[in-house]
Amino acid sequence: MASDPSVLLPMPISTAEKICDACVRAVGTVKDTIRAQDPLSKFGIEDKDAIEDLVNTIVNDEKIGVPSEGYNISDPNKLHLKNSTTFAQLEDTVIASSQAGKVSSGKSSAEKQP
Amino acid sequence: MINRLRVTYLLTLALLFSTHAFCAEGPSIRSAGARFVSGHWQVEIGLTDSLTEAPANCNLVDVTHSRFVAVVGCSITSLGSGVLMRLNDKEDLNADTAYIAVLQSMIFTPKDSGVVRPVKVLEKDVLVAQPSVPPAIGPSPTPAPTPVTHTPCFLGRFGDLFNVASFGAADGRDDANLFFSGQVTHSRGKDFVGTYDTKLDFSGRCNLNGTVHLIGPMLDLKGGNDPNGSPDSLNFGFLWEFPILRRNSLLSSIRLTQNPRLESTQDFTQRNFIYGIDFRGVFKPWVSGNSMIRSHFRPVVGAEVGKNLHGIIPAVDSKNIARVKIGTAFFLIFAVAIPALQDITFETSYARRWPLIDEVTFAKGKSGGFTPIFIGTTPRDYVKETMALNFTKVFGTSVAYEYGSVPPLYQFLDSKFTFGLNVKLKFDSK
Repeated sequence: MASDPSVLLPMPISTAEKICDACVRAVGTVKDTIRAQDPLSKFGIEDKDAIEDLVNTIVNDEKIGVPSEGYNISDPNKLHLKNSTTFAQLEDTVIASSQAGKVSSGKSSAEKQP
Repeated sequence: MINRLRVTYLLTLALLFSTHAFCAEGPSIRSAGARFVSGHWQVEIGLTDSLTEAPANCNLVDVTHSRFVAVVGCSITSLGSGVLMRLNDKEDLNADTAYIAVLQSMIFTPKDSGVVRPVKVLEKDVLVAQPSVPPAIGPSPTPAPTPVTHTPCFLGRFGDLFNVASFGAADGRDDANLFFSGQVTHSRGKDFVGTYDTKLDFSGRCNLNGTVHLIGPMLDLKGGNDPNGSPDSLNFGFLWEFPILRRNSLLSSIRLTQNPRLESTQDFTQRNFIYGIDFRGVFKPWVSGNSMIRSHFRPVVGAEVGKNLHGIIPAVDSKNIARVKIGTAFFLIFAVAIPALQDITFETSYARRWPLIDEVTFAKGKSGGFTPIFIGTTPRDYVKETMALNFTKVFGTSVAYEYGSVPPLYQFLDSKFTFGLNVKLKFDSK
């Protein structure tokens, strides 16, 4: 149990919104402002490859993913995403799956090279 | 007394309009929770749809004591998917007290390309945690207790197989965890002829060294009694897939897929062990201005090496296998999104395999027995064009054209057309 109670707080909605916005823009193609009711398919995130890239970015990207805000997702299987998942549902999933504290050793995708 | 009447009126109004909103599948509050930040309580309200501006009125009702909690201000998040309600510094929320957040006079952004949607009232119970427990701001007001399990990550989806509630619609065969496609034809005086195509994919996500890997078992089963259909085949293997390069202006990632598998005819008379390795480029999607037309491009380079474990004829027995493969897949999606038709999808996939070692297959003779067919190292092409009409997210029909041959039998498909019914399901448990 951490001594600072603030680290136990779940992720705020505004933080989840910021993370999801950046990750969807990074993986998909966003032509306009993202709205909570928009499905992932609207941004071209609609097949297994794109969804797995989105999951990886959310979980591990230290610049825009959950590690960038001091959170981690210990079990990526909790991110049940599909092409009809709305942006609001994505936020909910990220909030429900993340815990405060950095345990990931992930790198920014921009830094990672083969 | 007046205050109590106001509370009762407001709650009745909220109940009336929220019921109406539910029936009409309009915008709603998906979560509401309170947290103590920087010396004051803040109520965070998640919305299913984005607001254009902050609600005209934000109220927090203490139902237990029939009073309004003093709200200092109300704002929305940058994308309008959440409302932040700041409470007076002197207010102290208690987990033993029932609170309801009430938002009034809101304008939501358009659903698709329509107009903005005014909503009069939305309400939701607010979760306030005990002082020693973090406030549970989540999508569900009463989250089910999560059982502690020690299932390895690569078996993380086995449990979903026995949970019908965990299924949702998938986007296609490659996207589906469970896929079945079948067709049956009948002509007068002839027997029923049918084919089937089944896929089970139980790969789970494991986060290893800062990268999410897909690891797990999978099964492909194709067959039937149609003499012009695809040759019966059964592939049982283990998938290991992860991105090796992520994100630049063109590419979303390059994904490395390793797939050791048993590749056999359905009756196991011919069995090959194959280790497949693919590098698949995941290009960023092209999306039209209104997002109604979208396309995806996935080039693939790979190799397959292995050994025949059991051949139905001596010429095949114990032969080594080595093939180089290039291919591509292209998807074009027209999102019609009308009640009777969700979308129309065109998918083209092409693969060319170069056997590096002479390959031998066989054909069933008319008088019984099998005769060898020497494939040699001649490159083998396979192309498939599919048009799918998805009437709902789960059910649809498809028309497919196939030409070419695929291992292990390399049975040549000469312009084969398939009309089928598709059911696509994907694990979707919360």
